[in-house]
Amino acid sequence: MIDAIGSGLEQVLQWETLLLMVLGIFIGFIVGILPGLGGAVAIALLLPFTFAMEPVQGIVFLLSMWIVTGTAGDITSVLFGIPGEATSAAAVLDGYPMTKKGQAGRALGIVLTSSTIGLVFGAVVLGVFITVIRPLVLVLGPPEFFMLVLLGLAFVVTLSGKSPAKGMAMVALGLLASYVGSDPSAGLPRFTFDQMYLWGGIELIPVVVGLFGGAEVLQLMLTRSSIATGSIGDAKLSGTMRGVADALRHWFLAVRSSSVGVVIGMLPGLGGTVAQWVSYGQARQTSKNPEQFGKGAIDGLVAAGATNNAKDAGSLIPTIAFGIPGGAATAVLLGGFLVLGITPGQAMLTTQLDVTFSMVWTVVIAGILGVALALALVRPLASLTRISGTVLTPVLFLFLVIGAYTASNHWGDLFVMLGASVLGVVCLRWDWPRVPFLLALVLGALLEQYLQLSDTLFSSGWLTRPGVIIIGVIVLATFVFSVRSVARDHKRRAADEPVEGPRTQVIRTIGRNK
Amino acid sequence: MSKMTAVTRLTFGVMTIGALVLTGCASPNASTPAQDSSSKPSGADCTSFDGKTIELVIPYNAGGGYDILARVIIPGLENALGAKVLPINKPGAGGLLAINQLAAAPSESTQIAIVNGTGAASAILAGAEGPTFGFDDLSYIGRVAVDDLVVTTNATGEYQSWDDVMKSDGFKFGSTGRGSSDYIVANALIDAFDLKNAEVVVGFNSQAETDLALIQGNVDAIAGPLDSRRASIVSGETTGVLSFADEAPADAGDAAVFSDLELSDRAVDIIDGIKLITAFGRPLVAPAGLDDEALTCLQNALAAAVEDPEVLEQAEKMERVLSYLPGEELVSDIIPGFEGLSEDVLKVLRSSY
Amino acid sequence: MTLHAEKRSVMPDIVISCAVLFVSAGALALSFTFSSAVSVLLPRLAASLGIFCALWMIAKSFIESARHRRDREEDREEDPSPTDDSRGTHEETLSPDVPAVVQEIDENDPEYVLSHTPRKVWLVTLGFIAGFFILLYLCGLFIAAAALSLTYLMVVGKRSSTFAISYTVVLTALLWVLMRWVTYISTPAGILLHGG
Repeated sequence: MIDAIGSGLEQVLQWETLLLMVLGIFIGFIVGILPGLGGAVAIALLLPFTFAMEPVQGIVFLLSMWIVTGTAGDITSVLFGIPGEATSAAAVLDGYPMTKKGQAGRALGIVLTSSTIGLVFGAVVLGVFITVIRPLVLVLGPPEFFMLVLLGLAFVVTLSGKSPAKGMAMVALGLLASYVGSDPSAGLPRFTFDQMYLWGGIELIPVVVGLFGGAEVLQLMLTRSSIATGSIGDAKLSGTMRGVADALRHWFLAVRSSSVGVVIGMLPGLGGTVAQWVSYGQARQTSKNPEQFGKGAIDGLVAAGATNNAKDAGSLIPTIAFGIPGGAATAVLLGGFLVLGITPGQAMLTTQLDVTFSMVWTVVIAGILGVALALALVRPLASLTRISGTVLTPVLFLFLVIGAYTASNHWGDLFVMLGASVLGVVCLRWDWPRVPFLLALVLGALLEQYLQLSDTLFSSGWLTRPGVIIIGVIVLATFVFSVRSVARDHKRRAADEPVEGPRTQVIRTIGRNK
Repeated sequence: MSKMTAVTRLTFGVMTIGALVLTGCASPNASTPAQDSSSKPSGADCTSFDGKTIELVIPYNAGGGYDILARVIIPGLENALGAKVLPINKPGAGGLLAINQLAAAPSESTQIAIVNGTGAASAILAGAEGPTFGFDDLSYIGRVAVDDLVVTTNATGEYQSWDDVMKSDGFKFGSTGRGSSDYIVANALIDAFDLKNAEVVVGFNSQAETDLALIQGNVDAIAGPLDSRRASIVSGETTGVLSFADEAPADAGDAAVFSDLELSDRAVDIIDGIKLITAFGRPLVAPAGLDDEALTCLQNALAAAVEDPEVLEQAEKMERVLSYLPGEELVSDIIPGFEGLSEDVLKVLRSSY
Repeated sequence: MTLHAEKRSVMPDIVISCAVLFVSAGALALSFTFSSAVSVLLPRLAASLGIFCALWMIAKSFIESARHRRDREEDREEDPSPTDDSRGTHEETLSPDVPAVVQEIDENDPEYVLSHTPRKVWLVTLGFIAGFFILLYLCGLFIAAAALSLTYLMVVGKRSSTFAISYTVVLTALLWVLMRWVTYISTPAGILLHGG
């Protein structure tokens, strides 16, 4: 194994390979910055160019590009409020409010630092566990996956905001939306309203772009000001260093979020879209200032950044070990492996272990170089948020349209994006939580699929499998813990507002502002 | 104001540099079609495609088997046509959405598509909900590949040969879903061999996930393309027990073939039907109204593309075998055969949706 | 502050809850029209959850509004308030003295932005959005992008025509180069202009 680690590094450190890595980083950075266009699109576009490459060269090229899109996606989320990728939506919630306060530099410092922690942690886990992961994954069947999906759903309680009723209502809507399309057993369309576009279900990317990005672009159009309205000084490099320090202060949270990212990223189908919210939920649960979440909480942003990058390494594990992609981007990456003549499976963990380790090294080296590039660009990027909103609006419009349209190159994508934007605006305006909807949308279809598979494979016997019972206990514990912490929040809020009623509120606010 | 424009200029600067980086890496390959244009097949005068852009619609997500196959032959098509061929992924409705659109497209459109011919033919023949086109609504450029069907079982399980399977009770095939090729083939085998209490378990996300379930022992077998099975057969985790080919493939030398088995007439009938539908394979198609000259050009281009060294080298690297059949032969040999399919075959197809 | 004042207005929550109720009940009803082969267990559970939560919200809102009406009546003796929050829309809930206070409140709060934008700005914004998507549907992305950029900069941005035109040209050209020459990412085509 030590040989493989060394040989993997050696294969990466060829000057030709490194050159391709740098090229990959640049391209990944640009594509990642564009909202909606994520790693999947980038890899698909550049796949043909790898035909002529040596396997390791091709892998380094594609992997470095993909790893950097994650980091760059966070930048868009923080600066423009449009998720750079479906998996970096959580960074919008706390990063964008900071930007609006004029703290773009600081927010970028936080998210980039926590990204680095996530990357390195993820790569280490990938390297250490890849050789032993196969037997472990072989124990996980559909019943265990069903329970893991339930675990994801249990976090909805923490993410529901102040009103559990609103949160659960949004969960119901999200689940219903996830059941649009062909049903898993009979393959017959349901809730599709005779639209063939809907047979495959509602696409995730347009929903994320609309739900978060659409609502933010509308606000920008309404205020007609630049994104950032705070004082100029914060965009300076000192702000960034402050962000770096902020993130380092929360190093333990970053590591915890990274482990959430790796573990959930490993589970096919759940991947980054779920990992970011679970991690955000746990950060909120353990935070000293949970009420700051969604308004620019530093710990929230740390969790989002760390998870988003750690999960990439996690999703590589099933891709390499089983040829089962963890998410959309790894699905294309898997195609890239095949193009390069690399067949995932057991051989990658034995005879071709050096190739696997060259991937681990690529994740680390390209990831860190990508972050360095981003840090170098913080100033010009942050100053973009000071451009007048009216000048920026047409560009952001294009981002929304192109980002949504890449999902399936169909007008339906745009309608879904518009619908999600309306939902996002309604939620923001009248304080309904958006995240439970999104989480339920991702989890609903998986829930049904694994339930149905468990049932046909094991009838009711699956309920007594040890894995199911263990995860079941964790689900219950999570649920109880969440309910308790929500109740505590509630009490604290009530204690904060001794006298209810509009007038007292106004008076109190005036007092505080003065 | 002046600050604003400076920043705007900077934005464009960054974006232009990005664009340059991208073009810089695009240019070496972009120049190859021009250099190789001499290898254009003689025959029809195909200058009408020179410098044009053709969209190759892939009705599935990027990264999948069809996507990769299409991307592999694209350089060959470009070399032969002197045109730019752009892959466009239009997933939806199990690949049918994009083909419905293509079949309804105006004849002068420069769109072609790679089709899951086996899937589309089964859906049309079964009268399933979905395809709004018939065999006549497309023109056929040629078949690119066919799936070599094999049945694999868990290497450590109780079924190590097709004989074991025939003696089984309550055998479980794994499948991604109704209407997919792994479902139809499994369903046909259950019917043809009258496997006792056998069933097809649906709902796996992908072929790879079904393979994992097989290795875990949650299902007993998968009936699907050899290309997706090869890795687990070679690594010794699964066993190929039955092949639809005339001779057992090299990777699964011990697999039974139909000529070794004693088959009832009904079984022969069903197996032959499935073989015929499978032979439709993965064709390239265009809208039906495409004029003859353009169609001939595309057909010749595909014929040249599957011989193109660049394409062959890449296919070999991926251990994928191209199995070209000219469009005319699809129309003359395969499609007419569909009308002669027996009621038994049609019944299998109908029960697979 | 007004945000809290508006949260007292329960009407929007009731309307949204009704929408959730409508969607969930509709889905539940629809699920009975499917053939028996279609799996409907989880969709029905989800729909039931939706109905339950919507009813819960509606009930909660009515109780809250009744409580506030009571509070309000107690208040009224010293300072009569012109509106009844339980039925007021957001414009009505703004008591005249509030905007002055609001200036000092966080103006970036999305709830604040969405509720305090004048009607005219809303209409102009929605008009541009609608116009953009209609043009996109008719003529495709490039023309829609150019039209939006040009008109938006001149009308809303109040930029000089030189700036607006050059910005538009550069933006559209860059978009064209990026989409058609560099990346070949397909963009929405219009029904009138297939190439657009």
